[in-house]
Parts: sequence; structure tokens; C-alpha cells
Amino acid sequence: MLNLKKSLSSRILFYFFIVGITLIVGVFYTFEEAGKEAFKQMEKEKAEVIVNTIVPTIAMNLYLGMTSNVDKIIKEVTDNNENILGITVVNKGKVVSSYLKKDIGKSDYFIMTRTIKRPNSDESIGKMHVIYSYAHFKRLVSKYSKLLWIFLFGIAVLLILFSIYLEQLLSPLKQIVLQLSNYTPKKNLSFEFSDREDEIGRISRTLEKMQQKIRSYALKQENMNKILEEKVQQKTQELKNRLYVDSLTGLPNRFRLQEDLENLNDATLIIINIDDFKELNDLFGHKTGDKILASFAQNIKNLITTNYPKFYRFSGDEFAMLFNRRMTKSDIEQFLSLLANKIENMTFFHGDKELSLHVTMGAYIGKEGALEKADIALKKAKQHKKSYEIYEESDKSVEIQYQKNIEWIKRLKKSIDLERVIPYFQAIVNAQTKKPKGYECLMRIRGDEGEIHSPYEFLEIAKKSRYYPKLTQIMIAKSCQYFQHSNCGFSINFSILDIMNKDIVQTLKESIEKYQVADRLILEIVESEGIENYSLVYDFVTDMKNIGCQIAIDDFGTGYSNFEHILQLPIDYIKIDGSLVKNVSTDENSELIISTIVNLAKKKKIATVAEFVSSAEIYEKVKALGVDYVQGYYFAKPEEHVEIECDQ
Amino acid sequence: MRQIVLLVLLFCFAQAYEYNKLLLRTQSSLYPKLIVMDRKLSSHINDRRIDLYILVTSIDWLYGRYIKEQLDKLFPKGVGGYILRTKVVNFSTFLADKEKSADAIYLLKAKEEILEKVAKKIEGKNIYSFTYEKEDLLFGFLFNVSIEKEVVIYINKRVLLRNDFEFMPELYQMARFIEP
Repeated sequence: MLNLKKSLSSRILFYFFIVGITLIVGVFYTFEEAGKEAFKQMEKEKAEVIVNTIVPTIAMNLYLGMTSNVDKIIKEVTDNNENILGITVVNKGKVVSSYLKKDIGKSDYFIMTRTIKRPNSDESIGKMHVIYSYAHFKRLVSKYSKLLWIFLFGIAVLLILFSIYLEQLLSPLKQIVLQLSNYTPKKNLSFEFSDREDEIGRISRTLEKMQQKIRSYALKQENMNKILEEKVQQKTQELKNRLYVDSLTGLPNRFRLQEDLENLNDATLIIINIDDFKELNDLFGHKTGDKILASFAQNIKNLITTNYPKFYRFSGDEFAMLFNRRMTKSDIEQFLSLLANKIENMTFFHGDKELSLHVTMGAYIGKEGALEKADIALKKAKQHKKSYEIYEESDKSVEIQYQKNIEWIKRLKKSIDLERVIPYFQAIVNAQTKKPKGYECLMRIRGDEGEIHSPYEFLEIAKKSRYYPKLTQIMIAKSCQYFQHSNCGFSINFSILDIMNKDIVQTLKESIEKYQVADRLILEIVESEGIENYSLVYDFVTDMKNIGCQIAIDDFGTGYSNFEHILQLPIDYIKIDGSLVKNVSTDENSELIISTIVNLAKKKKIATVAEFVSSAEIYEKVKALGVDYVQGYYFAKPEEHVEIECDQ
Repeated sequence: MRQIVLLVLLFCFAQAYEYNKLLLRTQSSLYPKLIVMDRKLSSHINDRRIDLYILVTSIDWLYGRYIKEQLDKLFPKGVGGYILRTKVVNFSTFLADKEKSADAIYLLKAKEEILEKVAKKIEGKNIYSFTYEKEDLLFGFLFNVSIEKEVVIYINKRVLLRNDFEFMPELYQMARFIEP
């Protein structure tokens, strides 16, 4: 089987044959067809000449009525011309004269018809049909085809001879390829065609020269490869070190810890966090911080004299210790308290100042999820302000809470994307008339099944995520849009975080402008979050007042801020914290605080609103205490759609 | 009286030439057709009418009438787009007429000196002349149709050349020429 892909000469020969055969067949058919057509045309022309010659004489005789002459002429013409099989002269549908050869039935022929015109006129006096045989034409075609076949056969023979020559011409190339296929730089090939003067000879000589160059390059390359291999090994080691070793302390890093953990059958892991290291950095600078870290690492390392535990730098101010076995709880407790004691006794120096470090540690006995569980233990220790904690199965709830938080972050993103963040509205009622004066806008999230989630479920997580500003912006825009054609006041909760965020403030201003709601919008600033930067809040409040908005302080009475600062702000409403209101009928202290707030507000001409009014009893109580407006389930639950006509 | 008239008529028929009626009919059917084979016919006849005189001696008058009837019957609408007007005329009348009133003449039998005079009269005047007798062509007339083994057209070459005729080549191919 011919392998065309591998052999150039085979390919040339193959295509040469294909082209040759195509040409021969093409030429044969073209010439044959053209020849046939030409011969046919020639026969027709011949017939035409004969017909044209006899027609005038026939016409003359026919015109003169000398039909015997017509008979004589057509007989004579038919007998003298082997191609004419017969002639018939017809006048007005009647055969005037006709002569046909006997064997006409077997012949292949065509009929040529001519109108016979009266001499010296265009008047038709009859028709002449000449039956003309194809016999001569066929003989001609047959001869022509034979000649063509002979010619093409000659061409084919020439092609074969030429291809044999081509094969011989290319055979040296095949031999060279064969030799080259076994070539290695260490072999020395000699080509038998190098003495030739043609291109084959030149190729052979060039290949021999190339061999010499390749040999010398190969030698150089071999040496270079050795050097490069060494370099690569060196760099690989360096990269490995960079990947697995912490550059500051020289300790194995988090990646190494993970790998080591995977390679162990069982383990006990401790995560050590240096307390308040951020303050240390802020106080003495990062350079000093780094030195202390390095020194801390070295001190701990010095304590370890055995293979295990291994000591790692986990992250910034966190370190880890890994045991290759599951320790008992008492052993690890003993170890942790000993270690905490050792660390507390360590002294670090910054210039002439002595520093000591305190650490919090979390430990987990086991291998599965060791990093996460030790971290949970560490957080628990931090939370309980203990020097260490060991992860226990009861701590799983913390882990579950983490999972929940992650789920909520995903859900928040989805809710924003699918526009499932919606405002609900709870009426704020005039304490005297019991008619709504306005509404508080409260954020809700619609779940996959259409269920509604209130901020108690997600607000804390949202505040820690990057989605919080977006949620607030959606609430502002949707609330303003809802009340754009309403005469009701409506309030939006605004935290200190919102005030600090320029994008949110910008959205607020744009929405007020777009929906023209400045005269109805009340911004409820949450007091309970502890306002520290009063200057910023003051500027914001003043700015919004200038626009035309009103300001309320939410959850008043529970924050850490002092009343003096709060009351310095140009506020319009105080919303008394719900925890005070819901106990007002049972707790005298609550009643006293509310009474004080109301009195203070009245003096400052600030209206008061009592939240969480859930019963008639509470309502009557706060009304009696002089609260201006009330809000709570006693009057209305938060609704998605509310009346937008209010009592003014 | 009736007997005298009958005797005169019998005498006249006895004096008349003999004619072959088949030949007369053949000649009558061909002669007008031969005229229209002249390509220059329109230059010789301006009024689109061919005046064909049948020249007879007095005693052949009835044959003349017979030929005229044949011609009128064969060519009622004329020939080749020309009107054909036939007239039986006495040789003496024809010779006495000094105008060229005939376009073609069809001569029946006559004495040699009459034929000579007629030939002389029409010489070079582009008058188509046809004879009953083949031999009469030699006096100076153009066409004769005879029935031999087949119908044969004879043309007097000298007369053809002395007049301004241009007949179709095919006619020359099928006709036989007489050269005196």
C-alpha cells in the first residue's frame, strides 16, 4: 500500500498519475465530443450544400410542371450520393415526387426540409424533404475515436515512462531520508551522493556540514543542560522553600501544615494567637512587630526539642502546633497551660523597653476538620477571655452558625440580583387620634418559596459583608418611590455605617431629588449603635435638614452615647426604645425613664414615638405619659402594601 | 346556300396546317411562365400587363382561338403578378402595325418569308417570342417547347444575346440551346 503521507516521491508520483489520467480522460471526452459535434455539423453542411444545389432546379421544374424532370433529378441525386437515403417533394400536402433507397429502415438518419419557392419569387410552391444518412458521420467518428485512442495511449505510455524516470530521480532523496531517520548527534553519516553536482549532491554536502555543526552544538548543549539542571534543582528547592516556609520566622507555613496534617493518620492541633498584636504594631510599627514575631517564633522553637509537636506560622499573628497523635484531653490541657505560662514569662525587647506577650489558644484533638475546629476553639477562648479552649462536640453549634452565615451571604447576593429585597411599612399612629401619620420602612427579603425574612435574621451578617451598602441603597430607592405620590411621612433607618458611606448618602440625595420626597422623609438614626463621631453625624443631619428632611433618633434610651450630644443635634423625633416600652406597664423604672425622655423632649420641642406598642394596656400607659405617636402590633403589623393617604 | 358555305369551310380546313393539340396545350401552359423567369421583365413591361399575341394565318384562325382559350383558362389571374392579355392576330396585321403593341408573340405555322419578316420586325425589341415548330426558331425567335422523349425547352442563343433578357440560371441548366 502506497503511504502518501510518509513519502514525498510517492506523493509526487501519485498526484502526477492522478493529474495525468484526469487529463487523458478529460482530453479524450472533450475532443471526442467536440469532434462528434464538428462531424455532425460538417454532415449537415454537406447535406445543405446538396439541397441548396438541387432546390432551384427542382423549383424550376416544379414550377413549369415538368414533374418527370423532378423525378429524374431526385433519383439521380439520391443514387449518386450515398449519404442521401431519399428525397420527397410535396406540394399542397400531395407528394409530387419521391424516391427512397431500399435499406432506409435500418439506417440512422436526419431529415432536412426546404421550402421550394417559385423561381424569381418568394412564393412557396412546395417542400422538399431530404433524408440524410448518419452512416458517413459514424464512419468518421469511429476513425476519429481510434486516432484519439492511439494518441492518448501514446501520451499514457509517455506518462508511465516519465513517472519511472521521476521515481529514479527521487530515489536518492528516499535513501537520504532513510539514513537520516536513524541519525543521532553521536553518529557520523556519510552520503553516497555528495559527489554529484546536482541538488541531491548539494543537499548531501549540506547535511554533512550540518552534522558537524550539530555535533559541536550537542556537546555544548550537553554541558549547558547539566548546568541548567543544577540551576533548576536549586530554584525548585528555593520555590519549595518559599511555598512552604515563612520568610519572616523561617518556620513552615500554613501550606506545609495542611500537607503534614493530610499525611498524618491522627493528630492534635493547637492554634496560638498573640493577643492584641495589632495594637503592638500600631504602637511600635510593623518593623518592630515583625522582629517580635520572629523572636516569639524562635523562643517557642527553642522550647521544642523533639520531632513533635511541629511548630508553624499560621498567619499574621497566629501560630500552630501539630502533634502526630491524638492526645488525651488532660494531656493537652496540661500542655496548653504549661505553654501559656512559658509564653507569659517570655520577655521581648524593644530598645530598652521590656515587652511581654499574652496568647489565646484553641485546640482540637483529631484530624478531620482540625484547622476549622481549632479555630472555633480559639474564637471561643477569645469570646470567654480564657487563655485556651479545647474544641468539643458541643461547639458544633458555632460551626453550624458559621455555615448559616455563609448561606446568608449567598442568599443576600441572590436577593439583590433577583430584586427580592423589598420594603415593608408599619404605621406610626397619632396617640390621640389613633390615625396613621406615616410609616416606618422596614427591610424584608423574600425567600425562594416566597417566605419573608426580617432583618433580625441577616442584619448582623449583612453589616459584615460587602452587600450591606447595596441593601440600604435598595431600601432608600424603593421606599422613596413608594411614597412619591403620598402625603404620608415615611421613615428610613439610617445607621452610623450608612452615614459614613458616601455612596449611600449620594443614593439618598438622588432618590430624594428624583421622587421629590424631602418634605415627607424622616431619617431614623439608630442611637443604640453608639455614635462616636458626633461631628460627622452633626454635619450629615444638618445637611439633610437643609434639604428638607426630618430627623429621628431611633432606639433612644439604650445607647451608650450621652444625652447631651444627642440633644445637640437638630432632631425632630425621638423614638423610645422598644425594650423600655414593652415593660412600661410592669416595670416602674421603664415608666420613669420614658417619662423623663418625654419631658426632656417636650422641653426641646421634640416629638416622641413609642415603639413596640403591642397592647391596649401599653398604649394607654404611654399615652398617659404624654407620648405623641405610637407604633406597634396593637395598631398595625408591617405590611407590603399600605394606604398612602394619611391624617395630617 | 348552305351547301356553298359548308363547301367553303371544308376547303378552309383542308387548306389549314396540322397541329398537335397536346403540344399546343403544353406550350400554352409553359410559355407565359417562361416570360416571368426573366429577371428584367419589369424593365420591359411598365404597365404590369403582358400582351401576348398569337400570330396566325387566316386559315389557322380557329387554332389561334383555341390557344387563346387555353391561355385564358390556365392563367385567369395572370402570371407572376402580371396580367396576361392574349389576342389572336393575323401575321399581316402584326406586320402592318408599326407600333410595338405586343410584349410577347406565339407564332403558329406560316410561310418562311412571313416568319422572316416577323423575326426582322421584333429583332432587338425585347419581345418574347415562342414558336409552335422547333425549326421556326432558326428564323430568329427565342423559345420553343417540344415533346420528344420528354418535354424539352429550346432557346435560340443568338436571339437571347441580341435582346436584353436575363433568365434564371436554372432555366439555362434545363433548356437546350440552338445556335444557327
